[in-house]
Amino acid sequence: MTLVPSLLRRLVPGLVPLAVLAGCASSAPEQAARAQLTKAQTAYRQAQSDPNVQAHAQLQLADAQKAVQAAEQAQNAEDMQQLGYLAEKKAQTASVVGAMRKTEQDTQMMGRETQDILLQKRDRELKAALADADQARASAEARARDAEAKAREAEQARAQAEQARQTAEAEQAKTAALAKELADLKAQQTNRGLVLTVGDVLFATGRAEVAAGGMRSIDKLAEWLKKNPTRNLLIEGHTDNTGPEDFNMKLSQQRAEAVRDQLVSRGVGADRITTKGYGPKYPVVANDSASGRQQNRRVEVVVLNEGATAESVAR
Amino acid sequence: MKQTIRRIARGLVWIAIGTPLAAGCSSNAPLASTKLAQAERAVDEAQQAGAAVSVPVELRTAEDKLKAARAAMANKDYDQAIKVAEQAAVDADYARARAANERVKRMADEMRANIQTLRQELDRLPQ
Repeated sequence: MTLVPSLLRRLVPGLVPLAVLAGCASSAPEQAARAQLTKAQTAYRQAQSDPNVQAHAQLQLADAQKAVQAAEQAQNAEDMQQLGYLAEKKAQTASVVGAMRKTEQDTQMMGRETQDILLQKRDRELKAALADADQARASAEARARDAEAKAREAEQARAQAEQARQTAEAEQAKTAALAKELADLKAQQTNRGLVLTVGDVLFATGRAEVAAGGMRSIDKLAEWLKKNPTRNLLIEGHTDNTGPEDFNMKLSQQRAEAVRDQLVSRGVGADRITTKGYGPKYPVVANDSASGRQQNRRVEVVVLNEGATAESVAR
Repeated sequence: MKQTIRRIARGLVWIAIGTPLAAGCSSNAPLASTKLAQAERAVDEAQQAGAAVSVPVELRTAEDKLKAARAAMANKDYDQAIKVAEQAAVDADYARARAANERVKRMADEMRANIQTLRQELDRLPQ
């Protein structure tokens, strides 16, 4: 029976210092421990009320909460000091982690925003480049059309020049040909004018019809006269001395008229032509040979100088 | 008889008081080395997070306490080693969180500036 009080008596002295420590708040370590606990509780409340911590740092917050509870339940000042410090740091860490996670979330959003802007930018740059290309192509096309039109104009001008040149050349050729043709007619410049001798072969002996071979010379003469409307003609017929005088006179007149008729039938005005028959009176060579007589059987066409009359030049 | 019981009781009291003390002392060593290892790891992680550059004061606090824990361990003052090792661990965790937060904040600032530049460039382009 006396065992229990005896035990208590022996144990009590050991319990007294603890009771003093726990109950009395006046010692310095005790005050420091209480202050530390308060700091931990404040830090925890701050973390707990932070929406970022609530959203992103629940693990850390729970850890801090357990630490604060442990500090609150500390059995002595030393433990309270230690546990209070650990709890305060854990609560602070929870706050920092909450803020960090929030910022991390922000960077993810900004990453998406950056991508979005880059896409828009690329889009606009592409559009701008396409517009530039369109404009460049349009102006290139306009330049091409312009160049084409100018080329066409140049080609037209060149063709016109060519045509003009050809026309001029043709005219020149015609004139040259005519001059040559007149030369073919054996024209001779005399003081009476230009005298063409229509060859003796044109007429058969005793006949006044122009032979087929003479037609070419007549054609050329008619053409020349049409080109030179101011020049008039005196056509003179000549014979050899064969046959009676009056027959030859008549024949020479008929031969001159035959040439005139051929010219008139080719469109040369009859009023421009005067005819004369001289018979054998004016031989060009002696009539003592067949060839000489042939040369004398002839028609001479005198192309009168401008303003001259047939009478003034007739023999 | 009464005396015998008293003697036994006295012995039991001493055993009851002495055993926890002896056990406490001998069992603190493994706990201290566990706490020290935790602190070492926490400080190491804070250093790797770049705390030395962004939050040097906070890291220094953790490092100093880790050193103190090592010294207490060497002196076989296990209670002290546990205490400062625990503090070093929470200090290092805090420094690591701060360092990570600084890094993320800097990244966010750069991105914000970049977005502003891009927006200006975008506004200069025709719609």
